[in-house]
Amino acid sequence: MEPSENADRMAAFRNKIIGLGETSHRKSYYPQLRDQIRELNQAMLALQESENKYRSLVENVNIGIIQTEPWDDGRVIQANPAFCRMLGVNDEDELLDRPAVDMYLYPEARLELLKELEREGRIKDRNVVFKVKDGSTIMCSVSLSAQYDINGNMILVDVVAEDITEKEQRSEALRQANNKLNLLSSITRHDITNQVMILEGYLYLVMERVEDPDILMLLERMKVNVKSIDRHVMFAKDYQEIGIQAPQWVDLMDTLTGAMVSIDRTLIDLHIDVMDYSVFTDPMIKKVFYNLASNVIKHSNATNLTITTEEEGNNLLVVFQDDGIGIADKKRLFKKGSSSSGYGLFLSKEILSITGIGIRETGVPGEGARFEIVFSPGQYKTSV
Amino acid sequence: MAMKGVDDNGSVMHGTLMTRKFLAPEIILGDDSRELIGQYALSLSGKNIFLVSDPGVVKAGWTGEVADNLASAGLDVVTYDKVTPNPRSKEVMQGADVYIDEGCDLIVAVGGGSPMDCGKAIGAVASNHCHVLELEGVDEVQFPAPPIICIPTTAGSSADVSQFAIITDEEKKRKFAIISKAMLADLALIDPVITTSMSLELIADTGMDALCHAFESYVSNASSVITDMFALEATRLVSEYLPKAYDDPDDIVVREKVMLGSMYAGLAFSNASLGLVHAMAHSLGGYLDSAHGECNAQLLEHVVAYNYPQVPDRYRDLEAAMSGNSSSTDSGPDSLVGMIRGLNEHLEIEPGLSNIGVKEEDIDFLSHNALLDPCLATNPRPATLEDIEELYHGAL
Ligand SMILES: [Fe+2]
Repeated sequence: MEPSENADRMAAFRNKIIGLGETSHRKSYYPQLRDQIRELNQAMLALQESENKYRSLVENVNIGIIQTEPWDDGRVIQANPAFCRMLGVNDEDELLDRPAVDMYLYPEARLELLKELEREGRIKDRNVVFKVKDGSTIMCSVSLSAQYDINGNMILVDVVAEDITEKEQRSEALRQANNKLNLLSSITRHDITNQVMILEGYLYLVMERVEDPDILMLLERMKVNVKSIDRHVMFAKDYQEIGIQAPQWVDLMDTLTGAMVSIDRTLIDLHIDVMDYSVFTDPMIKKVFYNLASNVIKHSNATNLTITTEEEGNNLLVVFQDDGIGIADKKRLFKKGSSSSGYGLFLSKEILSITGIGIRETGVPGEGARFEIVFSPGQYKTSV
Repeated sequence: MAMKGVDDNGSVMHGTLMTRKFLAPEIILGDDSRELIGQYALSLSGKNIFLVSDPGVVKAGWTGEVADNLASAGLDVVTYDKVTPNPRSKEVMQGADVYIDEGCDLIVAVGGGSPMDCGKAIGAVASNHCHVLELEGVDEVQFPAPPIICIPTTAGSSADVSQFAIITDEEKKRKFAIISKAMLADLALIDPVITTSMSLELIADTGMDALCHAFESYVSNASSVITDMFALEATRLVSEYLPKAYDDPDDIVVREKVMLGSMYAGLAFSNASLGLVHAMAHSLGGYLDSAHGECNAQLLEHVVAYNYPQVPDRYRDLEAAMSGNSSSTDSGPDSLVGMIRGLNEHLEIEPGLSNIGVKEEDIDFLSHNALLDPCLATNPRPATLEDIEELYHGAL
């Protein structure tokens, strides 16, 4: 090192030792420390803010949220206003520090939930009956999740409870009404069918004994009307079945091929060219597919029916295209009793509408009919 | 407001006062003050105490006593008591590892300069998460160290009141200084009773270290009226009572005076810094691991002779303080040098660096390191490499 260089270095040392410069900080209040404190404060503010946000969420949400200790005689640690309302208490204080089990109509239900929670760590959508302060009860759908300490011991249970009392009552009433309706419908149908069969029998007997061609013609008309009654009854039977089974995911290709088994391939050339999709629908959709195909045979004079899939925007289209005469009058196409095909298209539309699936006819008259079944996002997925 | 200090032309007149700071830790001085350790550790929010000491102090029983005091205040104690004289950077790093691993939150250093310097450096390393070598220099400690309490067992190093920590860089065989306010203890518990266990040799070495602190801070080019006061009083106390303490080590009153002199000297040099004696002594200590006080004692008279022409008045003040007279002779450095020799003789410090193993051929290495020591920055007379070499030769 050059002597002058060392002299500069020494001069800098001396200045710092005299200690009046900016870098000579106080022992315990360094700018770096202040920065750290400021960062910590900011982090704490952010934390506070997010806590406030969640607190207000918990307090304003219309779903009951409580926290309890996870043991048999565990107490309620926290309960939000919605839960207090559900249990008919004025505020949280009436629940705090009380045994959580006191809220349950069936104490053993809580023990079972806790046991399951210990195994699973999380439980979803269990029905539980809680006692309300006025002596009534409410049915809740509850989800539980456990909190653990660093040793993996369960220390808290978070419970989210939705009051489903009214919903349950309504769906029970609906179930009963449905049952009655079905019973009524099937009994009535059965009786009508019997009476129609008897009527038809008598009609044949009468026709064998009548020679007068005028009367025979009238009887012939009566026979047609009797057949029509029979069709109406068959429709009632089909219509009754719609919506009985819960919608589900079905494989498009399997369902289509299943539906086409009873189509007479000598009457039409059938081309199925669909991609791998599953659709969410009433299982009766195969009836829709069958109806569309059988209509082509009955009414269109087509020689080819091509079934394809295409994606249009976010929607999936399942297209039935034939090369027949097409449909000129589209106005009353999907209305009840609109055509000689009876109730086929009306029924199809009803079946599809259960899960919100659309259907439309977009063919050019003279060039063939084109039925498009429209699945919106969420109603279809590509099969894996 | 009075317009004092403004002359007729309106410009500010300057007096003789230099603008200087003065920094000191909280000091508790007096017999048995060491017993307050528990209370103070608690008031500094300590829970898990890192106790730094050395084997000699452990043997004398002081470390154990302090540990017991801490324990009976309900504090956990982790002891780190293998610190050697002239503590090495490795000892600091190991200590910092233990400090962090054990989750300590306060440092108590019991001992002479070595455990105190080591403890201070451990604190700085622990809070800055760096190597101790990165802290070398002035104001290089970024983050404050954890609270530290020093209980000195020698009357000399004054690490308990200074913002210095001197550590040996064992790889390069040199000492380096960490000078920072972060190196200032939060509390110095200065208890003369503890110094009664010192050997005669340790009394002599540490006492001469204290005298060098007083001398060097007084002639320092960073001195102030405050440090001057402490330096002169330290010179007076040490010169008068160190020989008496050496003759009658059990006289507690005499020992108190030496302790007080050492503390004054510490307060002076902590703020005014040191000079060539320490620059050269650090180099010696780093190279030969020799006793710091003895190196100083050997070098002092030579440095006085070298510096004298630069600041003769300052040295005359020191001479007067040493002799106990109100004024000094006008004889140049000879009389003062003579007094230093006389003191060394009384303390049975044999003159000559060769006595502690310095060889002719070491002087080149020693001088290069001394030239870089920050203590040189405040020496009143600038020194070149050649000057330093010559001084080592003269002291050989
Ligand atoms: Fe020293």
